[in-house]
Amino acid sequence: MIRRSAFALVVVIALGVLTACGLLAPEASFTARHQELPAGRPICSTCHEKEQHNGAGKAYAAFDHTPTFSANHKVPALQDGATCAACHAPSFCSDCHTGKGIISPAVKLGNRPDRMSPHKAGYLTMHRIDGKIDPTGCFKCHGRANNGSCRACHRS
Amino acid sequence: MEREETVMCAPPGHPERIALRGWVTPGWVRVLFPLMSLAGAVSAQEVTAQSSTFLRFLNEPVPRITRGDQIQAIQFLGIDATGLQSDNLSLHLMGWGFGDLGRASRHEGTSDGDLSYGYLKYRFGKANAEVQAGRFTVAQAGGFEWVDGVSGRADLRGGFTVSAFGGRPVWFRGLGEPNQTDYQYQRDFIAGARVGKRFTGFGEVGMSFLQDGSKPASELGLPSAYDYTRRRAGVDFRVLVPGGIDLTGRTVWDLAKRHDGVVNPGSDSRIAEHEYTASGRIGSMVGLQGEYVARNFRSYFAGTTLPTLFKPTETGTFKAYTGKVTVEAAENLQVLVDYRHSSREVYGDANRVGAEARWKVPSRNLATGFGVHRVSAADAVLPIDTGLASLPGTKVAAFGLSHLELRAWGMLEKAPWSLSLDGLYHHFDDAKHPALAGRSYEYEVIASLGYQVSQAFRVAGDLSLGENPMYRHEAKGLLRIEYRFGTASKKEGK
Repeated sequence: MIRRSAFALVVVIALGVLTACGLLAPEASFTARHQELPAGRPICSTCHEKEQHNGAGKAYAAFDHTPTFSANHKVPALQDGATCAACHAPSFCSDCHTGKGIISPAVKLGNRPDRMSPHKAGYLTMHRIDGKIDPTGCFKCHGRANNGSCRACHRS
Repeated sequence: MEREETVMCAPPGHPERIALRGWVTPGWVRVLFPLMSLAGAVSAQEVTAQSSTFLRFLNEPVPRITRGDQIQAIQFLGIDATGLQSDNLSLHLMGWGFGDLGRASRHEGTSDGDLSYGYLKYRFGKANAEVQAGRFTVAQAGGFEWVDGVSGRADLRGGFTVSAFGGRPVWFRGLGEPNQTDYQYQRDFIAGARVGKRFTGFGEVGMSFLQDGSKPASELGLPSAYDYTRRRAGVDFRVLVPGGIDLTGRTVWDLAKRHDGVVNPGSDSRIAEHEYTASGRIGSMVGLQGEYVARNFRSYFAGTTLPTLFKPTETGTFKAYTGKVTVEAAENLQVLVDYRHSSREVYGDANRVGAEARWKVPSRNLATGFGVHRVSAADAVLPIDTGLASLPGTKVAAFGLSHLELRAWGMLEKAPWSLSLDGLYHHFDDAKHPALAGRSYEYEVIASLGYQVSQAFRVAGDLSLGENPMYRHEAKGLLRIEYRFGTASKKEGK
């Protein structure tokens, strides 16, 4: 079953690649690396005022690092990861998004209280309250991975 | 040193239920040596490596159970190498190793290590096309996965985009084999794809699909009465409405066939998730955002590797409405007011409301923030929990979850020194809540002092003190040594 699925996947990918080569957009890719930026959260639209982002089909303002951008970075990160990669190394993301974490983001970033890092002080207590109110919030990070510690107590 | 056999002598959940193993194990070796070998082997135009070493001291005594003194050593090592043979080929690696230097501090054992990600990426010069192979994260149709496999994406003519991935879900072995029964639900194969259409200046729509696992539950090594196979389809959109309003959202359906015999009246919906957000601005000073989320537990939790916690058998849904207003009150003063109403069918309603202010004084390299939030939650009336299933209609009274949260923090930089303070306080309305051990509050204060030795080398020490229901008095120290080296340009904080 696995081999059949894997074979089917390879065939689909191969056909897809062959077909897509003729369908690829002719525009040049987004820059691999943005020039050095000053410290602090960048507001892209400051320089790219009404410019459309190459490839993303939206204004640069959509990537302005406003306070709410941090809380809602999921959509641009998923759909336009290449834009993030122009400034952020993958390790920046893995400060929080670790498949199997060894210390919580709040501890790892204990010297950066300005960054949004989950599981701050006393979360062992708070998770019992947050989990009752909204277990789907826990599921995002711990539903499929990073739940070895959860399993120690939530066993049956 | 060979790994010693796990000793389990305490009931589940007991802090003493700790795997006692030798701390120098293949966990360190299997992560760090490959990373270092690869770093030496690659011939790249630019190589950047980040090393973070943590020595963590904990005193978390649980009354009448543990003494609480622990020392942990943690090493993160990441490598980014670009220009491998070709300008477009790059390598990205991140792994970590952990060891207890004294008594065991974790349920999973006294040592561990893993590769968080490690992949080769090729970026094409056109169409934002790229392919990557190795271990990476991917998100499709509501799934967020670590995959050992391949993935690719490209922009197509006419504004279309396509992305796809396939491989095997990463197994994060945390416990010994006898304790990994839940991992049987994590399958052998995973693949997904998304096709999108972009309308320049107006937005984007997309459709995605996720298939997780190739075996039915009955053919698993540990046959299960519950079939947690995942097969999902999703639609997503982004619409830019004239006037600067930005609408994004997605709906995800659970398409897997199940014959687990679970009777859950009211949870027959195959819609796993709705998530919609609207945001916009009023002038240059005020930002608005609203969000609606609805999740059907049975469909949303399908495919979990931990069904004992995320129970796909739970009846009902979770819904939440969130509103946020951000005001740029002055040049360096920002105020965020937020409100969230949530509702979980088997539990009840909860309201979280509060505000946060952030203030910067660039001339003094000072940044500070204050926040206050109040959570008013219905006194819980919960179904009797029988493990994998709940008895419909049978309920017992539980306890109040309402609480107040206060936070204050500050950061000061005076090169080469840096100082930060962060304090968090919770006051609970109902100290009789069984999770609170009769305590009505908890707090923690973290102080950090850092010294930038050179552009690439930094040391910092954190000290935190607090009280909480779990450990009563808690003291923690952390020594942080960060070293960044290589041939690429440095970017602070990136």
